Amino acid sequence: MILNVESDPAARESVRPADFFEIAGGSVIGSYHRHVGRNYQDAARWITEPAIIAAVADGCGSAPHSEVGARLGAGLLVEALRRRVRILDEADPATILSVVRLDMLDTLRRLTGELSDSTESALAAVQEMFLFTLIGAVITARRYFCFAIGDGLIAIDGRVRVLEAAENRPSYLGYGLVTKAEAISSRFEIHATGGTESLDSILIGTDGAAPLVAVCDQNGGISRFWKEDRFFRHPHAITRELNRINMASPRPGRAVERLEDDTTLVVMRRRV
Amino acid sequence: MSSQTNNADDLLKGALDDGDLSQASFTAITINADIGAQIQAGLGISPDDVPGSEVVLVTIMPDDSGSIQFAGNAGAVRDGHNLVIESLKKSKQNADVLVHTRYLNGLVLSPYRPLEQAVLLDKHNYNPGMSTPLYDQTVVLLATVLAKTRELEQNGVPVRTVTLIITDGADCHSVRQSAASVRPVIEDMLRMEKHIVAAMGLSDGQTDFKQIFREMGVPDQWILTPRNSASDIRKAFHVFSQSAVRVSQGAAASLKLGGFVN
Repeated sequence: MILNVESDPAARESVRPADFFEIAGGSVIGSYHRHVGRNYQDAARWITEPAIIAAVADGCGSAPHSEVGARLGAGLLVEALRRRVRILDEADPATILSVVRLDMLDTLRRLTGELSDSTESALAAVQEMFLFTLIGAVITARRYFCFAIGDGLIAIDGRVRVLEAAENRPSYLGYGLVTKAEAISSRFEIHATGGTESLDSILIGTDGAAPLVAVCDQNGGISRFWKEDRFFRHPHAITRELNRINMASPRPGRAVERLEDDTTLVVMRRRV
Repeated sequence: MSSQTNNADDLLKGALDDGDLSQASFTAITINADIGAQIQAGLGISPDDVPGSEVVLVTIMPDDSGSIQFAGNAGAVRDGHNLVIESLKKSKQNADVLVHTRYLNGLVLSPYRPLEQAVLLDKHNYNPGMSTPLYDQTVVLLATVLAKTRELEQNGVPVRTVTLIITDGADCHSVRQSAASVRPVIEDMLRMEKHIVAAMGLSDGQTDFKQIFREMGVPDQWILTPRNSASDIRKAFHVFSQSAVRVSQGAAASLKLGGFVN
């Protein structure tokens, strides 16, 4: 069924994206992270009411406790957008995200202040915990938009875009907490917008998901995550599939592709 | 969700091909022409129907030989088995617990089922009076643990296991296996660092259970030898139940470094 709320604004109020889209997510600790005993540093959060809002976050690999920030960041982003649900349909996404960014930085700044007693210790807290990338997606009755700070993966209706970081140094929202030049690169970048009525699927993923494009090739490609019903029938189906990839045993003559980095996916697709 | 449901033979062959099972273990297991059906009887719930993202397999083999009844220990074994189940139910787990109970003489009381559906022993379903094929049935039991582990892992579900073998006498009536043929199976399992194999020998006044279990490959720290009294037997089950609870709560160290703490 196609959502068409343009001609009937009243209908927009009653249309729930969750009636037409289903969502699933999963995550796995990277094989390299497991091997060296590094913490799992990804996070994901999503809601389906009153709009579909999803976020994945990836903590900075070299920071000892960036998983704290990743979890906080994914949650803060989703909640900040949820509080602004009334304008998600109308306002310019860049403006919305600019306000959301300031909202999140304000919260993180207060937390950093609670955790430190000097500028130096505050900076240390940011570097230890609050450097993380963010990829997000919003689907309302009328439109959708996808955005990111940092690297990762976005796929809209089968068109995959790998967001790469220059010199493997992604942007982090947390740079907005410091006064260095990097603060400029801590802003959200819009990667896709469009009308919901023509949308079929969105996949967002942390940068660990980029190899999935190759790893999944012999099994139907990364598109299996939005094409195969099974991933929406069991709450851990995507996690299990990612686990299966990383648990495959090597055999003579057969190389095994593994997901070395923590990998998190959230997939939204039109209900069949 | 489509699952890769393989029969038991395929699961074991795959474990051999991937190096999880040594040839010695594979030979010991498959020398029994009926092993496939015996394992299948214990596999139970399909991976598709397991709601969680991680699983702990708790497997118990109570001795159902006549000497248990003769020594007056049937009640203690019943209570002990049920104590393990109840302890797990009361504890907070961070993984789905699947329970499988198979008697020493091969009867499957319940294949792998979610903890809340585990069958408790009572006077009707546990009335010991048979023999003691310890080695034969230990291989069947452990092969079932291995097959279920592999079935879940092939579906992307990480697994840890804890298994308890209970006997009140030395082996009697095994026809295919010996302590020496059981040993490589346990050694392979321990090498994977996701399995605990524990053994409890209920004293009969003459059997050196530590020697028997050591020959089978059970590490010393996972051997219990309670005296032949109901209270001692119940205490031993309590010790095992605490280990099972720790594993279900995600204490990875309990797999590598642990043992019974009396």
